[in-house]
Amino acid sequence: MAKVAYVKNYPGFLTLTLVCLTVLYAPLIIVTIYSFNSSPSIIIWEGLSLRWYKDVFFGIESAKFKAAAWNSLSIAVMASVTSTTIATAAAIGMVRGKAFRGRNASFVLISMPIMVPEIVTAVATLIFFSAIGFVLGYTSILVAHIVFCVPFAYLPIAARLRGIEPVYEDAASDLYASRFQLFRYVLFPMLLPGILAGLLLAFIVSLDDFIITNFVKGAGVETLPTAIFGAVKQGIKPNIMALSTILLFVSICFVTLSYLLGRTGSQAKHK
Amino acid sequence: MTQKTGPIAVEIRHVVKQFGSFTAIRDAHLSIYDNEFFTLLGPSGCGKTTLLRLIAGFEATTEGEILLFGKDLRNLPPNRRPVNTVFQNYALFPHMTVAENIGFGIRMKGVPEAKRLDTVDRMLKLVRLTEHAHKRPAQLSGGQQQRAALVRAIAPSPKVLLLDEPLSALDLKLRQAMRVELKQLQQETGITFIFVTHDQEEALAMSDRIAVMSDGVIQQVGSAREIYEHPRNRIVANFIGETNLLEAVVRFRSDNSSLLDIEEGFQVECRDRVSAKVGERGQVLIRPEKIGISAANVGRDGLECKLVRSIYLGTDTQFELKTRKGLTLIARHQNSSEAGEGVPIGSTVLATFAPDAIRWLSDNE
Repeated sequence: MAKVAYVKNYPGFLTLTLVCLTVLYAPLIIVTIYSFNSSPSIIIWEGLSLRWYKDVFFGIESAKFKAAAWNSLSIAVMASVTSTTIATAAAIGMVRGKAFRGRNASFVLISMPIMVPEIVTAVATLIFFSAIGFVLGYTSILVAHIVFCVPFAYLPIAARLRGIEPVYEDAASDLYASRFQLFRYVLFPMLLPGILAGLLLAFIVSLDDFIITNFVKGAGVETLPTAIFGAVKQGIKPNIMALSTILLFVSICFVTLSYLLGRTGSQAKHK
Repeated sequence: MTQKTGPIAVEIRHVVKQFGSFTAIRDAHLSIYDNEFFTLLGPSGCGKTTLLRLIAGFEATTEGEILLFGKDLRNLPPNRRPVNTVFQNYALFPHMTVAENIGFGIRMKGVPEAKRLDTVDRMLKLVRLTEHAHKRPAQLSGGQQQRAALVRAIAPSPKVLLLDEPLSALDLKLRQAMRVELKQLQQETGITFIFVTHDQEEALAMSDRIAVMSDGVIQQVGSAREIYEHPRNRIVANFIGETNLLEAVVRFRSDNSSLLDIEEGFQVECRDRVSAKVGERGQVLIRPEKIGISAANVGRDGLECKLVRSIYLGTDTQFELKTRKGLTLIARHQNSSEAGEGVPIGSTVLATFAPDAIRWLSDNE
């Protein structure tokens, strides 16, 4: 029998993989390592220390970082919760609703922010805000985040919903559940792993966003990514590395959690 | 099985259901009596499940109406119809315990907790699941899930219980045990059961009355005996049990006895009312167990055939006979009877027909 053509059997596959992994992860690893450097230099290693972490929390720039972190977190929480709510409603409408004209178009519309280059969304959002005379600031960032988080929340929720047989909803309404009760007691609990995965994904996407935020933030309002960018413009200091490492760690935690939830979700597809 | 009459539980009037250009049900007309065990029987795709879903309210009728104890169900969503369903794959809620599943219907109806727990306990006892009350459905065996699904649907005391091939996922032994249990449950609760199946044996064993469906049309409604012994047409005859369908020419006709040619020169007596005139053709049905086999030299009046094959089936043996004109007849005899025993393959035998073996199909097309 012919050997199955696994991609890993192709010549040069290992080299290519190593190159890709290096290009992707070397910078992250270097930043992480140097964040523990005791020297103020960003290239010369002098010894292990938590100095720059201390600097992030208590240094001269700490007030700025704390304000930015607060903005980032509060926006991420509100944007992820709101967008997940919208995405859940959208998923139920799209997956369970009857076929309607423009269903495919609606799907494209929902997932537009994933497919369109972010800079385009950023410019478009900025133009839209100024056209309607919306004052740029905290609220404008929040609104923009809610909008572009929807597709990220939508995808895991819709995937989960497609895995739930409609017969459970039939059974619930057959057993006298109103539409609200059906959602509350049957669909929502069954959909929960997908909703949580979507929520975490939306949270992290909002927390990490730079391009759109940078366009629609008003003067003086900073989120962590824009604050870091601002600090870097004045020269890279190791405290930025420490801050980035913290952000990286938080991201990894959330993405892992989201993945695990999605997985237990699909494993829990009972008969 | 006694013919039940009395109040009509479900009345289906001229119901048509179309999905796009596909017609799933054509002008169905049916009355199902209170307390009846009624079965919709037919091959897959015949519309029986669709009819059930129309009664439950999951689908809306394209035309016609469905009445529940005289009340039109139109525009009533499923949660407002006093009708419950046992689904083919049970559809037990995976995130709830068995007890929560069973209590779901009455909880949604707003029954107070104390009374609810009482009912759930009673239901658990009814199907011997008390010790499994706090397990998740996935931890139960197929038969236990089946019983849980059954009492989940019975707990709210529906007026009519709809069962959508609930036994099809079980193995044979369990299926036979569940048949008895279902029938018993129906008699104990007095709830009207509408049972959907493609398994004729299941239908014959449990039902008070059966509606045979095919291609979206209700072909015949009647008791198990009526359907088996007097099928109205070829579709019903073929679907229920094994049959020999033969062309026949009417030679002599009277109200209670007619003579038919089933093969040139061989006449049989038929006691059914024959709907064709003398000289016309029609179809007759002969059940395999009604064909007698005797040795060719006995000198009885029978159709001369060659024994082509005999198949041993445990309780029965099936014989395949071929007439001189090439007509094939299937006969079947219990192994405890001596008919056909020891007849070598290839030998000539006589096939004999009792007058009540020949059934005239009134609906010929």
